[in-house]
Amino acid sequence: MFVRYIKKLIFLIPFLSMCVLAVNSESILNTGIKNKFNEVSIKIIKQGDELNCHLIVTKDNHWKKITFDQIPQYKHFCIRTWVNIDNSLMTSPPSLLVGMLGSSSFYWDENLISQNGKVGTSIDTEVPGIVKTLVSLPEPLIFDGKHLLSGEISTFNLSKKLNTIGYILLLVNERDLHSKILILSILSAIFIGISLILAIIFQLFYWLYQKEISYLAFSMFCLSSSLILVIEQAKFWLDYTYDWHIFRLSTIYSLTFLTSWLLPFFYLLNYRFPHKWLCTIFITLGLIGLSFIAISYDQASTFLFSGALFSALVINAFSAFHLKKGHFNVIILLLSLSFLYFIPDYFNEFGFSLVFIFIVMTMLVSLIKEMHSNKVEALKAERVKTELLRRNMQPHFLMNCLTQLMELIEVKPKKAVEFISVLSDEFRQLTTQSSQNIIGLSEEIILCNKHLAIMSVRYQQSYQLKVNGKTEDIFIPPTILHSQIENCFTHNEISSNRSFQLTVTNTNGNINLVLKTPIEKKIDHQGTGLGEKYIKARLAEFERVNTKTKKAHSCSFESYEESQYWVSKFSFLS
Amino acid sequence: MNIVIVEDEPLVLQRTKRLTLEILRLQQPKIQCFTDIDDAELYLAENSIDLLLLDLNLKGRNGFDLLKNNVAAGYHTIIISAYAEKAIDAFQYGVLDFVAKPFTIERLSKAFDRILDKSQRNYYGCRYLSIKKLGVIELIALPDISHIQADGHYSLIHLVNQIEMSALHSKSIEKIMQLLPENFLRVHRSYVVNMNNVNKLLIQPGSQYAVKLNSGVEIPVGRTKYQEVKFYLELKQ
Repeated sequence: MFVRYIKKLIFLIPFLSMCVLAVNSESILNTGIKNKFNEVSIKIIKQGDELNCHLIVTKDNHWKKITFDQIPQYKHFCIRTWVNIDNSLMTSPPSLLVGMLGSSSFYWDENLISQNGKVGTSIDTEVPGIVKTLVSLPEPLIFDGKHLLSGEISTFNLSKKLNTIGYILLLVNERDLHSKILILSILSAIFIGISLILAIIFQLFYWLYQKEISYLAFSMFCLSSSLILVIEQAKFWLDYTYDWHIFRLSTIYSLTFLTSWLLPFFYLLNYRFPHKWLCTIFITLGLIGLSFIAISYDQASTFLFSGALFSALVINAFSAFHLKKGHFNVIILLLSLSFLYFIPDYFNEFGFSLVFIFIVMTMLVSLIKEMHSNKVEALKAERVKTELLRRNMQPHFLMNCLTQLMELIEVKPKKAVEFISVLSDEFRQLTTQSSQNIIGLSEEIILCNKHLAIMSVRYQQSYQLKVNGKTEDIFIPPTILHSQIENCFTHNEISSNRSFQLTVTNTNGNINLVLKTPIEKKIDHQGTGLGEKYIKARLAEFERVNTKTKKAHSCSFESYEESQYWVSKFSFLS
Repeated sequence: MNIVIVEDEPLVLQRTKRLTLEILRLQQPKIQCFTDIDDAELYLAENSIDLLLLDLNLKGRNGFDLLKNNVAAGYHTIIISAYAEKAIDAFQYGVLDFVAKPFTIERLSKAFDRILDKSQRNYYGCRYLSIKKLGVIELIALPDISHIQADGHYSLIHLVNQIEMSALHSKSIEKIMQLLPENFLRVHRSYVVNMNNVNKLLIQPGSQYAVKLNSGVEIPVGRTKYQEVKFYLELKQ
């Protein structure tokens, strides 16, 4: 028990180390930035204003002071900021990095250094620029002292009002920046690769191994997650004009919604939840509600994903409690949620990928476990079948019958022939039934009667099985009643004409079978041996087969002693 | 000859009885039949018999307890059972024979031969003698037995280690001899000795013979048995 938990904790190590790595590389990016402009002066340019914002002599003391992420939308404006250059602190000439949704032209000490799109005074005159600008400053212009960085910007080509459109404005060491972007891209590429491969693997599982809808859901989950990552990373390698940005954001948003929906949906399918469709509707409505509350795309993603993690957590907790599986998922999901809650800053860049990867891992583990248990079940079922044959043709039974036959042949040959025919009847029916998973109750009763006929000859009694209730249209796993009747003779010496009783009740498809077998001179204890195990294995197989064919049966079996009878209760709930 | 048959299946009981009567018709045996071991035990407690034919479900809870109980008794026990794989175990405890079901008249008469010809020795692997002491069954492993002394209809079993703690067995020395392996020799009308435990053969004045055991005890050797004992000891060396 303890060792098992240790093993599971070891599984957490990569998770933790990746968290550390993620946090570290993100902070590398931040500390590597020099001269981040926390404050810029801004002036909105109105129709007819003179364009003198790049001149050093222009006085900007009275201009409004804002931070870069507050730059306005649907406006044409000028921003200015003063930069102190100290060459002794720099290893190489700096570059200007701008990330914003707008067309712009930037000047360094009145010299044009970048032109991104065409700044216009309205949506008609503006040509949209690309979202990211990276230009190196001309070396001769970088001398020690104060410099003016000014930019003329227009932001008319936005189809929708956004929370913020200015993302970044800073001077960077270009080489450092590239190496950092490379690290980020490699990590993302790994995540994307893993998810895509998993998506393919689970498609193959679905089509070639077993048509389990949960495999398909899982494959879709992997695919949509990898698409999110691809589009999320697009800003690094795709230079698109800023009017496409909203399209990109809405795509990410839709994919996030899909992914968030697929996560709990997968768990519902995987655990074969009792009210999975009701739960699915509830989760869908919840996610839609969450996306309405959010004020920005980023927040919506965070909300959606928290919603997904939370519902997955609830599902797993329920399953851990009731179905006794999914304990480890609960831990992972709790960690993911706390990651999301305590370090939200890193979520969109890294948290998402990390959380995703670990959810994927737990899913994979649980799927592999399920496949393993399926395999074990199949093997068990196979063993049960052979066991059944062996049990009923067990040497003792056979040898005892043969002894009877010897006597009959020598004394009453006609009786011997009769006995042989009852015996062969039972064996024939057993051999046929053992290869089936389901038989009619009436067939089972015929088999029981055959066994009782044999026993009647052996003990020179006339044992009878009394059946109360309708036996038509009831299907059960084969030989479960027969096995109990047989057990009755193994565990008892029944030397009187006590009756065997079977009561069948059927209310709305919920079937109860109660079999009473007499107890008389117990040889050994009933109810702990092979018979019990055999019946349980049979029921488990019956359940498994019926779940596949969507006839969601749940079987139960109990047996106990009650006033000189051994009572075996079978219930089949549909 | 008094015989008890215990068998729960009527037809098999009928068969056992029929064949027994046929084989032993010269001895004109009195046969008592029971379908249930408990009833049989009540009868056995009151009556002395020569042979018990027992169908034993050795798989069950107390199968072996029943067996140990019966082999401790003064009569011989023959097991007739479908559980042929338990034969070796049954022999270990000292049953005279184990007849596997289904059985023929030939097999059954072979088993009865051992009853009729008491000198016949067929060792089938007995490893213990079962002894009832104050109602409790004790098993004595054969190598622990030093020698056995006839005591009326009973036998006194002397042990290698605890000479003073000798035990009384309900079987006669003849019946015990039938179960024991080769290394137990009937050296005297009243003595059976475990030859593995013999130190040396003594020749005393007046053509009196004796074997000295490792414990120092001397057991008389019958005149007619002397050659046999000598031969055995020489063979061992």
